Amino acid sequence: MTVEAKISQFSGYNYGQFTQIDPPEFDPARKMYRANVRAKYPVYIFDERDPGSYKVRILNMQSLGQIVLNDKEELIPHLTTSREQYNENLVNLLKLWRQQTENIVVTCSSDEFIKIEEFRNHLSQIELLLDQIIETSKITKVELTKGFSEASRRRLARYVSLLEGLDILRLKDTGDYEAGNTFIGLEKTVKNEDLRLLALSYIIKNRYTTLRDVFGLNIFEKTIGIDNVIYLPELELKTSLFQSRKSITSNYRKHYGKNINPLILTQILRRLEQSGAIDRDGDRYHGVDHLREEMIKQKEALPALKISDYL
Amino acid sequence: MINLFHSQLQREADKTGSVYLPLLRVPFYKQPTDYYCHPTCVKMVLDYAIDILDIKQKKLSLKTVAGSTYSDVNSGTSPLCAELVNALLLESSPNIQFKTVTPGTFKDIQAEIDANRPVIAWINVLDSRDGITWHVVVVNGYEENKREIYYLDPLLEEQYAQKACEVGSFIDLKLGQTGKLIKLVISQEGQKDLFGRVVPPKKRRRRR
Repeated sequence: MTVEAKISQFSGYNYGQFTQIDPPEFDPARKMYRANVRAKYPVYIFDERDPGSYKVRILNMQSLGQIVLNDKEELIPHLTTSREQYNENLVNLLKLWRQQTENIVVTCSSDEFIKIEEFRNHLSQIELLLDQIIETSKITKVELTKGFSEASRRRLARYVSLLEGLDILRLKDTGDYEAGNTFIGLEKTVKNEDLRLLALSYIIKNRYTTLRDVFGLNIFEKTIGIDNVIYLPELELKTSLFQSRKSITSNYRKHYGKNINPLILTQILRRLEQSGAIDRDGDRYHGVDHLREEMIKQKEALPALKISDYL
Repeated sequence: MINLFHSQLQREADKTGSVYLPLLRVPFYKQPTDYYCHPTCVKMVLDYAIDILDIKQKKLSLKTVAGSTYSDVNSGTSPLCAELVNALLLESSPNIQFKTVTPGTFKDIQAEIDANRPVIAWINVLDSRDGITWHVVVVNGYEENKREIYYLDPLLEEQYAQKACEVGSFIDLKLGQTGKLIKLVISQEGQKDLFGRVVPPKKRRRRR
């Protein structure tokens, strides 16, 4: 049996049906053959307007593992990617793909998200800081502590630190805060209420994952998750696709591994539609043209999906 | 009606002068996730064998079939594990097994359908110039005059799952040189053990 046949046999028994194996290369220094394992992973895209067909888009996964043989053409198990590791790498790449799109969706739709009142309510502590800086151009040390419980003080300090990181607030030598360069830049373009919304949108755009993971603002996760489920196939196909509530529910489960309550879904879809983040045609939902075009531009600038090379 | 084979149905249609599409009545299941096409197709063919061909075999759940072929919700089925479900069919009577043929030909499909056995096909969903990515369907008919092959696609809802494809396009582009057909083989001799030896019924009873 040739080296190629041995590698193909191992792959055939251990890796999934989308696997591609590059021709093995012999490394004379290490006296071993190495073949890169990759995948042409199909994404099936459905449109409710034409339920009798689907389109296929391929995610090129450049490196999912390797198969290594020694110079006697025997498999080296500890250097060869196992079935479990292959599956784990695949799941990680799918997660990365989903997160890439999610970040694009957030970046392009933050102006719409911030119009959702319930969304803004979860950012009330940030609004508190923004209001003060808009009104007085500074926040003193005392203002950050006076009358607040210990827990509120700690939480507020974390938000201050988040705004400092974005250069919306800047620490002065006195220990007070003043408007940072980012805020001054935003202030030049709009005023008052619009400035507050613009600043909040900027924060969502640039610190979405921190707000979700560190501050535990889970409202973002579901709302943005549903928005992502609507745009994810549209970005692959670069056109609008209609999805019913049923397919949105099933796609949310597919991409996020969680069920969504029908009442919550209705509420999220209504809020997204009213804010202009998505559009609706009867009982089917789809993305908004100008947002999708912006998202496609951002997506095209991204590198290919890849897990770090082996060896 | 469901127990009539297409040759009988064709004869009936000829008598009445109506148009009959020669399809095997394979029970349809939609795959529960995007990459469970192989175990779903195996279940369709197994249930057909039990319900229509009167094979004595316990019905297997999709989960059991998928477990036997090491199918994964994200990575699908490893191509060389496709026949491993055979290990669960040793007690079937008459004995049934799945057998892979690569590359699959139109003659293979014709022979199977004429014998009232649906065939599982691993087809390429890409343009052959772009490489290969497998999807699995169940071939349940052909029409020689129209040069069409009919198959069930488990990715679609039942009312849209029955598809037709021109023979040349199915054989040359979808199956190609590496696409496989997985046939249902029904033993005329009786049940077989893991090593393919025929097990006499008495011996089996004693072993239990």
